[in-house]
Amino acid sequence: MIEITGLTKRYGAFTAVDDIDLSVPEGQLTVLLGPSGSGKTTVLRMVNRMIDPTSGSVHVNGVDIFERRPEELRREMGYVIQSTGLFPNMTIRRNVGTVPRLMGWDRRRIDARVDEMLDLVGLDPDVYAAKWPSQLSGGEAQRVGVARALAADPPILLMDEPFGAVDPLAREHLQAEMRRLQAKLRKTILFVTHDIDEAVLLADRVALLRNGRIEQYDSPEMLWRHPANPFVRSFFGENLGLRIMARHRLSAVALAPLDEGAACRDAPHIDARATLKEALAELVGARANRLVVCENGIPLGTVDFDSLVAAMGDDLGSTDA
Amino acid sequence: MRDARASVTIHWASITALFAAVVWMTFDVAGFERLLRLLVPGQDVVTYPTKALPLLMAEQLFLTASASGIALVIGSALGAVALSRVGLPFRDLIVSAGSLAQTVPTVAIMALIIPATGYGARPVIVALVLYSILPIMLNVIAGIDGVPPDVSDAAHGVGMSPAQRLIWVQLPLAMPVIMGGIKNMLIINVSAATLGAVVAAGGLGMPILAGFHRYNNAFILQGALPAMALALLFDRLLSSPNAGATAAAEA
Repeated sequence: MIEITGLTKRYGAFTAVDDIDLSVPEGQLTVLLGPSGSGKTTVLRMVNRMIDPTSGSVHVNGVDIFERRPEELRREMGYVIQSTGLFPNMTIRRNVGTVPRLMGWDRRRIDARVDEMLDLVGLDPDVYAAKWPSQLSGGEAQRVGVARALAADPPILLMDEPFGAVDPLAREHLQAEMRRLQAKLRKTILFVTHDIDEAVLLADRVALLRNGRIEQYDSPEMLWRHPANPFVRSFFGENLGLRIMARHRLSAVALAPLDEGAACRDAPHIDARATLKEALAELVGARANRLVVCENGIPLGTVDFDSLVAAMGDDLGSTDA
Repeated sequence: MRDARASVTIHWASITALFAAVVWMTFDVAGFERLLRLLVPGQDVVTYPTKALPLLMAEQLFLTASASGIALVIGSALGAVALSRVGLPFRDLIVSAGSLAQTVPTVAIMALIIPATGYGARPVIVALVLYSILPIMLNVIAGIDGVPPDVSDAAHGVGMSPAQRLIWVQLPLAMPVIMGGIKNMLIINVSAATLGAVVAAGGLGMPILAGFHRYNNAFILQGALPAMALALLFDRLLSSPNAGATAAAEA
């Protein structure tokens, strides 16, 4: 858990980060969201001591980070940046093995770990380990960046607009991949972005920053239902409800019973793993009043517009399946 | 790929040829003499009588190597200081001092320091060092400055110490630029070391100077040809086989 208290950073007369309190729960992904210049990257870089705060404190699992050696602290926090920052003079294998090497692991253990990490991010080690960074596409390079950050199994990940520089299609893949990885690894993640869709899709909780202050720190559902002020409401805009629908899957919705003899083939139907947003799109697209929800070709129940609305009600949980 | 392989072959062939030329001119007295007679017909004496070529070549290499070695150490150190947090405010000053040292003619430097150092190798080495610090220092600074900021940032963020950042990331990436500076310095020094003859430091400048005094072009060629071959050899040795080959390896 990361506990930020009264964190402030001034550059001369300019206050980049203004007395921020933030508690990042263990195993959750917390997004720092805000327009450029809102101070989100500065907050991130104060957590791993790449920037020294003017005042305030940061504790990681109860330990004051200013009592730690900066290099050791950073090795326990995976670091992923927008431009990947892969070392062009090293192969992918050496890039991914950087932190284990810094920590003095033996060669065999590093090699095994690198293979494991490349597999984890969906890159075949036999194909990619010997390549050079210049030989990768933007999406591949970013996967390697994530693999490098995870290599020494740090409990914390710091990610600074990690998918900002890749094309939209690759970005969607990487975001889906990120959700899958986080469901599996449950790291404590601090994730900086200015992309609202990305924030709402990935976050357990979002801290919305403006001018170095936190406007609201809540789950996306709470930001939508209970915005703290007009800025929060207008920042997320009219589409936030739809974005929230993309966070939740049909498997979490109470389905209506099936008609006698209903099958997945003839009626308008949808996969149980689809999101609520996809279900809504399918209802509109098929001009249907309801859809049969199917899992592996077996009908489970039906969903209609009213049940979608009901699912988006006040008892909507913040965790997505 | 085929072009790249061909140019690598040419690269090593030219290194071999230049090395053979240097060795041949240095040690095959009779053979080199035949070449000089061919190039300068009608000259009775074509071989510089005072010192043998192997000794002159050794002196030349000694002057070049010691000046280049010292300049490399001082230039790199000054470059490192200019890049460090302490030296950053003085960076312009350090670079200007290096530029100033290079504006003073080498001969003038030698003349000015002879009262302090006496005649011989020392004034030449000092003059060459003063002259060589700037290219080394500038290339060290340019090389490290040229490391992409995101790469340095990542090195910082994954937990490398300043020394680890330098050794693992910044120096390897700056190396092509730094090697370019070393190459230029060596080429300049191997030629400029012929000035050593003026202050009795020996070297391949001796036959050149003698040829100048005695109107003997053969003597001049006897000093100049090995010096040129040596400079070309250094140039080839410190160049990458070719840019195309590097690009092909990365593609």
